[in-house]
Amino acid sequence: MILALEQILNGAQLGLMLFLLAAGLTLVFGIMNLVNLAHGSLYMMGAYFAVTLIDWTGSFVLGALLALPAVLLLGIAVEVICLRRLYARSHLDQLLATFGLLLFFNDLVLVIWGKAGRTIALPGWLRTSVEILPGVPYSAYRLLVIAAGLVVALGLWFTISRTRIGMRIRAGASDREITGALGIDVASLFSLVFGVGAMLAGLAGILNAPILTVQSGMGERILVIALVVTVLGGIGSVRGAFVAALSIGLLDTLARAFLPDLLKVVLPASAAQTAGAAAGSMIIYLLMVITLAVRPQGLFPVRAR
Amino acid sequence: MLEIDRIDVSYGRLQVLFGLELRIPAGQVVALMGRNGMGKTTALRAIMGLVPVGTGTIRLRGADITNRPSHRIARAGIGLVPEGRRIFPNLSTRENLLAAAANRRHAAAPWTLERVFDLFPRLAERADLSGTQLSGGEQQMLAIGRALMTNPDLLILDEATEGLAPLARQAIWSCLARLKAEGLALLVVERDIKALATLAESCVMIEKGRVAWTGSGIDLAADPALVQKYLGI
Ligand SMILES: Nc1ncnc2c1ncn2[C@@H]1O[C@H](COP(=O)(O)OP(=O)(O)OP(=O)(O)O)[C@@H](O)[C@H]1O
Ligand SMILES: [Mg+2]
Repeated sequence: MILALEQILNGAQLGLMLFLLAAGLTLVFGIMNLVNLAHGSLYMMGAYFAVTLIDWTGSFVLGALLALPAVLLLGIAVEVICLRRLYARSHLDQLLATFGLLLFFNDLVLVIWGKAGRTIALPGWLRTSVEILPGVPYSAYRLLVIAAGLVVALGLWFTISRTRIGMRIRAGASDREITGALGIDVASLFSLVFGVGAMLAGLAGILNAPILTVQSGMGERILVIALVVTVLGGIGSVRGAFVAALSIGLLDTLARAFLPDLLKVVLPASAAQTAGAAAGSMIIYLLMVITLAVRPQGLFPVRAR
Repeated sequence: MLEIDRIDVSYGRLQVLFGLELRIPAGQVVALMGRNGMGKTTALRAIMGLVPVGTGTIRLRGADITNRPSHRIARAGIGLVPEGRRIFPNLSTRENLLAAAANRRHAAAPWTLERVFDLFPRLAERADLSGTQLSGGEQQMLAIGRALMTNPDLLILDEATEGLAPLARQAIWSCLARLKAEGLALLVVERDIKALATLAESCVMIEKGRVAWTGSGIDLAADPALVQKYLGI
C-alpha cells in the first residue's frame, strides 16, 4: 500500500516534470502556430545557466532563481532575432530553422562550457525526506518538483483563462490583425509567451540538473517525449498537456514498478523482468497510438480558429 | 482631426487607391461610399495601418501616422469595426470587450463594460456566450462595443449594417447617432442614403480609387441621379 502511494507520487512527479517541458511547446504551437524543435535546447540552457549561476552565487536556491529570468530573456531574444520571422512560414521551414537552432545551441554550450558534462550537487535539505504521512517518508526533492509543476499548471491556467493578458493572447492567436487594430501589441505579447514557454522548459532543466549530467544534446531526449505529451493532449491545449503529462508519468512509473511482478504470474521470473521493463518503456507510445486512433486531435482539441 | 492626403495603395501590382483625399473634422460623421470593389475597405485598412501606403500621408491631429504599426494607430485614438465583424470566436462576449479595454489617453469618462452593456443591453444578457453564438446583429453590437472599449475619438465602421434585419439596422443607426452626440467622430462605409441624410456631415463617393463626388448627406438624398450614377441603386 505504502509502496503504491510512493509509486503514484513518483508517477505524478515524472508527469509534472513532463508538463513543465511540454507546456511551452504546446503554448507556442497553439498560439503562434510554430513547431519548435529547439525547445529542448532551452531546457538544456536552463540547466547550464543553473550550473554557472549556482557556481557563482554558491547557493542552489539563488542560482536556480536567477537562472529562470536568464532563460526567459534568452527565449525572448531567440524569438525576436529568429523565430518571429517563421510564424507565417510552412511547418517544414519551421522544422528546418529550429533544427538549425538546436544544432547551434548544442555547439554553443561546447564552446562556452566545454566538452565534459557538468554536475551540480543537490543541496542537503533536498536530499532529505519529508514525512508525508505518519511513517511514510518521501523525497524532498521529488516533492519540490511536484510543487513546482502544480504551481506552474495553476498559474498558466489562471493567466490564460482569467486575466486580461490571457484574453489578449487568445485574441491574438485567433485574429492577429484585428487584435493589433484594437491597440494590442501582438508581436511583444507573442515574444512574452515564447519567453515564458522557454522559462518553463528552463525550469525543468534547472530541476533536472542535480540528478543528471548537464551536457550538450541533453535536450533531444526530452524533446521527443515533450512532443508526445503535446500531441496526446491536443496541440495548443495547456489543459490537455497537463492531463497527458500526468497520464504518461503515472502509466510509465506504475508499469515499470508493477508489470514485472504481474507478469511473474504467467512467465518465469527472469523473462517477466525483461518483458516487464520493455513493456514499461513502450507503454507510453502505445497510449499515444491508441489515443490518436480514437481521437486524432488529441484529448483536448483546441477549438478551430 | 484625420487628414488623408493623396494616398496611393496597391496590392502587389494592382493599384487600388489613386491619390485619395479625405478629411474628417473632430466630432463629425463622414460616409465613404461607392460600388463594390472601388476601394472603400482598402482606404480604411490604409488608415489603420493594415495595408502599406505607397505615397501620400495620413495625419491624425496633425501627427503623421502613415504606415505606423496598427496597434500604435489604434492607441492614437482610432477604433475599428471591421468588415465582417471579426469577433474573436474563442472568447466570450465579455472577454471580447475586456481584451480590447484600455484608456491609454486618459479619457475623463472612459468606456467600461457597464457603459457598453448600457448601450447594448442585449450584450449584457449574452455576456458569457462565445462570440460565435450571437446573432448577426448582436455580433455587430459586440464589434462596436469592442472598438469603443479602446476609447477612440474616431470610430471607423465598415458596412456595419450590412446583412442585418431591419430592427438590428435601426439599433445600430440609433447607436451611431448617440455616439455622434457624445462627440465621437465617425467614418462609415455605408449605402443607406436615408439614414446618412440625417447623420452625415459629408458623403464621399469614390470610384476606382479616386474621389468622384463630395457633398452633404442631404445633397445626396436629394439627387437620385447621383445615387444611380455612383452606387447603381
Ligand atoms: N488582399 C487583397 N489582395 C489583392 N487584391 C485585393 C485585396 N483586397 C482587396 N483587393 C482588391 O482591391 C479592390 C478594392 O477592394 P476593397 O475591398 O477595398 O473594395 P470595397 O470598396 O470595400 O468593396 P466592397 O463593397 O465589396 O466591400 C478590389 O478590386 C479587390 O479585388
Ligand atoms: Mg469593403
